[in-house]
Amino acid sequence: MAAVASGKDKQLRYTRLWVDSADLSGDSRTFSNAENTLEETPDWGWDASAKSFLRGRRTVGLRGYQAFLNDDTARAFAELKMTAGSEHTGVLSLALGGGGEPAVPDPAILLPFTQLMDGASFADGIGVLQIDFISDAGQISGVGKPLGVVLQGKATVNSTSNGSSHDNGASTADGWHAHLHVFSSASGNFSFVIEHSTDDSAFSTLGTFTADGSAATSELLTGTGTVNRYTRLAITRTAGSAVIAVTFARN
Amino acid sequence: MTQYAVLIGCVNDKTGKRYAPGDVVLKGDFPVRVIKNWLEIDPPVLAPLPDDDLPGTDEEE
Repeated sequence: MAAVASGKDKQLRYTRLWVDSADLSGDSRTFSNAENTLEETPDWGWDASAKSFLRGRRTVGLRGYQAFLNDDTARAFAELKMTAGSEHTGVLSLALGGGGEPAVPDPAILLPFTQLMDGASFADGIGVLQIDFISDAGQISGVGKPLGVVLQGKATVNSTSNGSSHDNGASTADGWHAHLHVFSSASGNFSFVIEHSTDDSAFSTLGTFTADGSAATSELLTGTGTVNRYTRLAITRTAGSAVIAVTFARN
Repeated sequence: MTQYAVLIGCVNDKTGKRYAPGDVVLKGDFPVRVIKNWLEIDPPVLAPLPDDDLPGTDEEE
Protein backbone atom coordinates (compact mmCIF):
# COMPACT_ATOMS: atom_id res chain seq x y z
CA MET A 1 0.00 0.00 0.00
CA ALA A 2 1.42 3.36 -0.99
CA ALA A 3 2.23 5.76 1.78
CA VAL A 4 -0.25 8.58 2.11
CA ALA A 5 1.00 12.08 2.70
CA SER A 6 -0.30 13.42 5.93
CA GLY A 7 -0.79 16.79 7.54
CA LYS A 8 1.93 19.25 6.77
CA ASP A 9 3.33 17.07 4.02
CA LYS A 10 0.04 17.34 2.15
CA GLN A 11 0.25 21.11 2.39
CA LEU A 12 3.80 21.05 1.13
CA ARG A 13 3.07 18.87 -1.82
CA TYR A 14 -0.30 20.09 -2.99
CA THR A 15 -0.30 23.82 -2.66
CA ARG A 16 -0.23 25.92 -5.78
CA LEU A 17 0.59 29.59 -6.10
CA TRP A 18 -0.64 31.08 -9.35
CA VAL A 19 0.42 34.66 -10.04
CA ASP A 20 -0.78 36.28 -13.23
CA SER A 21 0.09 33.72 -15.90
CA ALA A 22 2.88 32.16 -13.89
CA ASP A 23 2.73 29.06 -11.79
CA LEU A 24 5.04 29.85 -8.90
CA SER A 25 4.35 26.62 -7.11
CA GLY A 26 7.67 25.30 -5.95
CA ASP A 27 8.86 22.10 -4.48
CA SER A 28 10.01 23.90 -1.42
CA ARG A 29 7.21 25.33 0.65
CA THR A 30 6.51 25.66 4.25
CA PHE A 31 3.54 26.84 6.17
CA SER A 32 3.32 28.15 9.63
CA ASN A 33 1.01 30.28 11.62
CA ALA A 34 2.55 33.59 12.47
CA GLU A 35 1.35 36.90 13.79
CA ASN A 36 3.65 38.86 11.54
CA THR A 37 3.15 37.69 8.05
CA LEU A 38 5.86 39.42 6.08
CA GLU A 39 9.46 38.37 6.30
CA GLU A 40 12.37 39.32 4.08
CA THR A 41 15.89 38.06 3.89
CA PRO A 42 18.18 41.11 3.71
CA ASP A 43 20.49 39.85 1.00
CA TRP A 44 19.39 41.90 -1.97
CA GLY A 45 20.62 45.21 -3.19
CA TRP A 46 19.33 48.29 -4.94
CA ASP A 47 20.81 51.23 -6.77
CA ALA A 48 19.31 54.41 -8.08
CA SER A 49 18.78 53.32 -11.65
CA ALA A 50 18.09 49.66 -11.53
CA LYS A 51 16.93 47.11 -9.09
CA SER A 52 19.03 44.02 -8.82
CA PHE A 53 18.05 41.03 -6.81
CA LEU A 54 20.30 38.41 -5.43
CA ARG A 55 19.11 34.89 -5.28
CA GLY A 56 17.46 34.35 -1.99
CA ARG A 57 14.54 33.13 -0.09
CA ARG A 58 11.43 35.19 0.26
CA THR A 59 8.34 34.66 2.24
CA VAL A 60 5.01 36.30 1.79
CA GLY A 61 2.43 36.28 4.47
CA LEU A 62 -1.20 35.62 3.84
CA ARG A 63 -3.36 36.13 6.85
CA GLY A 64 -1.26 34.15 9.23
CA TYR A 65 0.35 31.78 6.78
CA GLN A 66 3.73 32.06 5.15
CA ALA A 67 4.65 30.63 1.81
CA PHE A 68 7.92 30.64 -0.01
CA LEU A 69 7.67 32.12 -3.46
CA ASN A 70 11.00 30.73 -4.48
CA ASP A 71 13.73 28.86 -2.78
CA ASP A 72 17.42 29.43 -2.83
CA THR A 73 18.27 27.00 -5.55
CA ALA A 74 18.04 27.50 -9.28
CA ARG A 75 14.52 26.86 -10.48
CA ALA A 76 12.78 27.07 -13.80
CA PHE A 77 10.23 29.68 -12.93
CA ALA A 78 8.27 31.38 -15.62
CA GLU A 79 9.88 34.70 -16.36
CA LEU A 80 8.03 37.77 -15.13
CA LYS A 81 8.91 40.99 -16.86
CA MET A 82 7.70 44.52 -16.54
CA THR A 83 8.19 47.60 -18.59
CA ALA A 84 10.40 49.92 -16.56
CA GLY A 85 8.40 52.64 -14.89
CA SER A 86 5.08 50.90 -15.31
CA GLU A 87 2.72 49.71 -12.65
CA HIS A 88 1.28 46.27 -12.88
CA THR A 89 -2.00 45.00 -11.63
CA GLY A 90 -2.56 41.30 -11.50
CA VAL A 91 -4.10 38.45 -9.61
CA LEU A 92 -2.79 35.83 -7.25
CA SER A 93 -4.50 32.58 -6.39
CA LEU A 94 -3.26 30.32 -3.66
CA ALA A 95 -4.91 26.95 -4.14
CA LEU A 96 -4.79 24.43 -1.32
CA GLY A 97 -5.16 20.94 -2.66
CA GLY A 98 -4.85 19.07 0.59
CA GLY A 99 -4.50 15.50 -0.49
CA GLY A 100 -4.05 16.11 -4.21
CA GLU A 101 -3.77 18.58 -7.03
CA PRO A 102 -6.08 21.54 -6.31
CA ALA A 103 -9.45 21.05 -7.93
CA VAL A 104 -13.12 21.79 -7.26
CA PRO A 105 -13.97 22.27 -4.36
CA ASP A 106 -10.57 22.87 -2.75
CA PRO A 107 -10.16 26.20 -0.96
CA ALA A 108 -8.36 29.04 -2.60
CA ILE A 109 -7.25 32.46 -1.51
CA LEU A 110 -7.80 35.16 -4.09
CA LEU A 111 -5.72 38.29 -3.86
CA PRO A 112 -5.59 40.94 -6.52
CA PHE A 113 -2.26 42.69 -6.21
CA THR A 114 -1.48 46.18 -7.14
CA GLN A 115 2.14 46.37 -8.13
CA LEU A 116 5.11 44.30 -9.01
CA MET A 117 8.57 45.64 -8.57
CA ASP A 118 8.89 48.55 -10.94
CA GLY A 119 11.31 47.88 -13.77
CA ALA A 120 12.22 44.43 -12.57
CA SER A 121 13.02 41.44 -14.69
CA PHE A 122 12.93 38.00 -13.20
CA ALA A 123 15.11 35.30 -14.64
CA ASP A 124 15.14 31.65 -13.85
CA GLY A 125 15.89 30.92 -10.26
CA ILE A 126 15.71 34.51 -9.12
CA GLY A 127 12.46 36.12 -8.26
CA VAL A 128 10.95 38.63 -5.94
CA LEU A 129 7.33 39.52 -5.82
CA GLN A 130 6.05 42.52 -3.95
CA ILE A 131 2.36 42.48 -3.37
CA ASP A 132 0.02 44.73 -1.46
CA PHE A 133 -2.02 42.37 0.58
CA ILE A 134 -5.33 42.38 2.27
CA SER A 135 -6.17 44.69 5.07
CA ASP A 136 -6.47 43.59 8.67
CA ALA A 137 -10.20 43.31 8.17
CA GLY A 138 -9.56 40.57 5.67
CA GLN A 139 -10.96 42.37 2.68
CA ILE A 140 -9.63 44.28 -0.26
CA SER A 141 -11.60 47.40 -0.92
CA GLY A 142 -13.84 46.92 -3.88
CA VAL A 143 -13.17 43.20 -4.21
CA GLY A 144 -14.28 41.38 -1.10
CA LYS A 145 -13.27 38.44 1.02
CA PRO A 146 -10.27 36.53 -0.29
CA LEU A 147 -11.32 33.04 0.75
CA GLY A 148 -12.88 31.11 -2.09
CA VAL A 149 -12.64 27.87 -3.99
CA VAL A 150 -10.95 26.35 -6.97
CA LEU A 151 -13.38 26.16 -9.89
CA GLN A 152 -10.80 24.82 -12.29
CA GLY A 153 -7.51 23.29 -11.24
CA LYS A 154 -4.53 23.98 -13.48
CA ALA A 155 -5.17 21.87 -16.54
CA THR A 156 -5.06 21.83 -20.31
CA VAL A 157 -8.47 22.60 -21.71
CA ASN A 158 -9.19 21.51 -25.25
CA SER A 159 -12.91 20.94 -25.39
CA THR A 160 -16.23 22.47 -24.49
CA SER A 161 -17.35 21.49 -21.01
CA ASN A 162 -19.61 22.58 -18.19
CA GLY A 163 -17.10 21.81 -15.49
CA SER A 164 -17.67 20.43 -12.00
CA SER A 165 -19.89 22.52 -9.78
CA HIS A 166 -19.19 23.69 -6.26
CA ASP A 167 -21.94 23.57 -3.64
CA ASN A 168 -21.72 26.54 -1.29
CA GLY A 169 -24.66 25.23 0.73
CA ALA A 170 -26.59 28.45 0.30
CA SER A 171 -26.84 31.46 -1.91
CA THR A 172 -25.19 34.76 -1.03
CA ALA A 173 -26.12 38.30 -1.88
CA ASP A 174 -22.96 40.40 -1.60
CA GLY A 175 -21.36 39.93 -4.98
CA TRP A 176 -18.33 37.90 -6.01
CA HIS A 177 -14.92 37.92 -7.65
CA ALA A 178 -13.01 35.39 -9.69
CA HIS A 179 -9.55 34.89 -11.16
CA LEU A 180 -8.59 33.39 -14.48
CA HIS A 181 -4.96 32.36 -15.00
CA VAL A 182 -3.95 31.47 -18.53
CA PHE A 183 -0.52 29.89 -18.30
CA SER A 184 -0.04 29.10 -21.96
CA SER A 185 -1.95 28.77 -25.19
CA ALA A 186 -1.70 26.68 -28.34
CA SER A 187 -3.85 28.74 -30.67
CA GLY A 188 -6.53 28.66 -28.05
CA ASN A 189 -9.84 30.39 -28.54
CA PHE A 190 -12.33 29.94 -25.75
CA SER A 191 -15.11 31.47 -23.80
CA PHE A 192 -14.74 31.13 -20.02
CA VAL A 193 -17.98 31.74 -18.15
CA ILE A 194 -18.77 31.56 -14.45
CA GLU A 195 -22.25 30.11 -14.03
CA HIS A 196 -24.48 29.67 -10.98
CA SER A 197 -27.55 27.65 -10.13
CA THR A 198 -30.10 26.96 -7.41
CA ASP A 199 -30.47 23.26 -8.22
CA ASP A 200 -27.17 22.21 -9.84
CA SER A 201 -29.02 21.54 -13.08
CA ALA A 202 -30.24 24.85 -14.50
CA PHE A 203 -27.42 27.37 -14.67
CA SER A 204 -27.28 31.00 -15.68
CA THR A 205 -24.31 33.21 -16.46
CA LEU A 206 -22.76 35.05 -13.56
CA GLY A 207 -19.88 36.59 -15.47
CA THR A 208 -17.77 36.09 -18.57
CA PHE A 209 -14.01 36.58 -18.63
CA THR A 210 -12.71 38.87 -21.34
CA ALA A 211 -9.60 36.73 -21.83
CA ASP A 212 -10.18 34.08 -24.48
CA GLY A 213 -7.26 31.76 -23.81
CA SER A 214 -5.34 32.89 -26.87
CA ALA A 215 -2.35 34.15 -24.87
CA ALA A 216 -0.89 33.92 -21.40
CA THR A 217 -2.59 36.39 -19.13
CA SER A 218 -4.59 36.75 -15.94
CA GLU A 219 -7.86 38.45 -15.19
CA LEU A 220 -9.91 39.53 -12.22
CA LEU A 221 -13.65 39.43 -12.79
CA THR A 222 -16.11 40.89 -10.29
CA GLY A 223 -19.85 41.15 -9.94
CA THR A 224 -22.51 42.38 -7.57
CA GLY A 225 -25.74 40.91 -6.31
CA THR A 226 -26.83 37.36 -5.69
CA VAL A 227 -24.74 34.27 -6.23
CA ASN A 228 -26.83 31.12 -6.14
CA ARG A 229 -25.84 28.04 -4.23
CA TYR A 230 -23.92 26.22 -6.97
CA THR A 231 -21.16 27.70 -9.14
CA ARG A 232 -19.04 26.31 -11.94
CA LEU A 233 -16.79 27.26 -14.83
CA ALA A 234 -18.32 26.64 -18.24
CA ILE A 235 -15.85 26.44 -21.10
CA THR A 236 -16.77 26.84 -24.76
CA ARG A 237 -13.99 25.93 -27.15
CA THR A 238 -13.69 27.46 -30.58
CA ALA A 239 -10.14 26.41 -31.37
CA GLY A 240 -6.89 25.13 -29.96
CA SER A 241 -6.01 24.48 -26.35
CA ALA A 242 -4.82 26.40 -23.32
CA VAL A 243 -3.57 25.71 -19.83
CA ILE A 244 -5.73 27.55 -17.32
CA ALA A 245 -6.81 27.73 -13.70
CA VAL A 246 -9.81 29.52 -12.20
CA THR A 247 -10.65 30.47 -8.64
CA PHE A 248 -13.84 32.02 -7.30
CA ALA A 249 -14.85 33.78 -4.11
CA ARG A 250 -18.07 35.20 -2.74
CA ASN A 251 -17.86 38.59 -1.11
CA MET B 1 -47.63 34.08 -18.01
CA THR B 2 -46.24 31.25 -19.96
CA GLN B 3 -43.25 32.75 -21.69
CA TYR B 4 -40.22 34.69 -20.59
CA ALA B 5 -37.61 36.79 -22.31
CA VAL B 6 -34.03 35.70 -21.62
CA LEU B 7 -31.97 38.55 -20.24
CA ILE B 8 -28.91 36.55 -19.18
CA GLY B 9 -27.63 33.38 -20.81
CA CYS B 10 -28.78 30.16 -19.19
CA VAL B 11 -28.72 26.43 -19.76
CA ASN B 12 -30.70 23.38 -18.77
CA ASP B 13 -28.21 20.59 -18.19
CA LYS B 14 -30.96 17.97 -18.38
CA THR B 15 -31.93 18.89 -21.92
CA GLY B 16 -28.59 20.41 -22.94
CA LYS B 17 -30.37 23.41 -24.37
CA ARG B 18 -28.74 26.80 -23.99
CA TYR B 19 -30.55 30.11 -24.16
CA ALA B 20 -28.96 33.41 -25.10
CA PRO B 21 -30.19 36.92 -24.32
CA GLY B 22 -33.12 37.64 -26.62
CA ASP B 23 -34.34 34.06 -26.68
CA VAL B 24 -37.68 33.03 -25.22
CA VAL B 25 -38.06 30.49 -22.45
CA LEU B 26 -41.34 28.63 -22.25
CA LYS B 27 -43.02 27.61 -19.03
CA GLY B 28 -41.87 24.06 -18.66
CA ASP B 29 -38.41 24.61 -20.13
CA PHE B 30 -37.17 24.92 -16.58
CA PRO B 31 -38.56 23.93 -13.17
CA VAL B 32 -41.01 26.38 -11.64
CA ARG B 33 -38.67 27.13 -8.77
CA VAL B 34 -35.84 27.96 -11.14
CA ILE B 35 -38.00 30.33 -13.17
CA LYS B 36 -39.18 32.01 -9.98
CA ASN B 37 -35.57 32.46 -8.84
CA TRP B 38 -34.53 33.82 -12.21
CA LEU B 39 -37.35 36.37 -12.19
CA GLU B 40 -36.52 37.60 -8.71
CA ILE B 41 -32.72 37.38 -8.62
CA ASP B 42 -30.54 40.48 -8.89
CA PRO B 43 -29.85 40.88 -11.77
CA PRO B 44 -32.80 38.97 -13.24
CA VAL B 45 -32.16 36.21 -15.72
CA LEU B 46 -35.68 36.24 -17.16
CA ALA B 47 -38.39 38.82 -17.70
CA PRO B 48 -42.04 37.85 -18.09
CA LEU B 49 -43.56 38.27 -21.52
CA PRO B 50 -47.23 39.28 -21.62
CA ASP B 51 -49.19 36.63 -23.43
CA ASP B 52 -50.30 38.99 -26.14
CA ASP B 53 -46.68 39.72 -26.98
CA LEU B 54 -45.93 36.11 -27.85
CA PRO B 55 -43.65 35.86 -30.89
CA GLY B 56 -45.48 34.95 -34.09
CA THR B 57 -48.78 36.29 -32.85
CA ASP B 58 -50.20 38.51 -35.50
CA GLU B 59 -52.56 41.28 -34.57
CA GLU B 60 -55.62 41.57 -36.68
CA GLU B 61 -56.09 44.98 -38.21
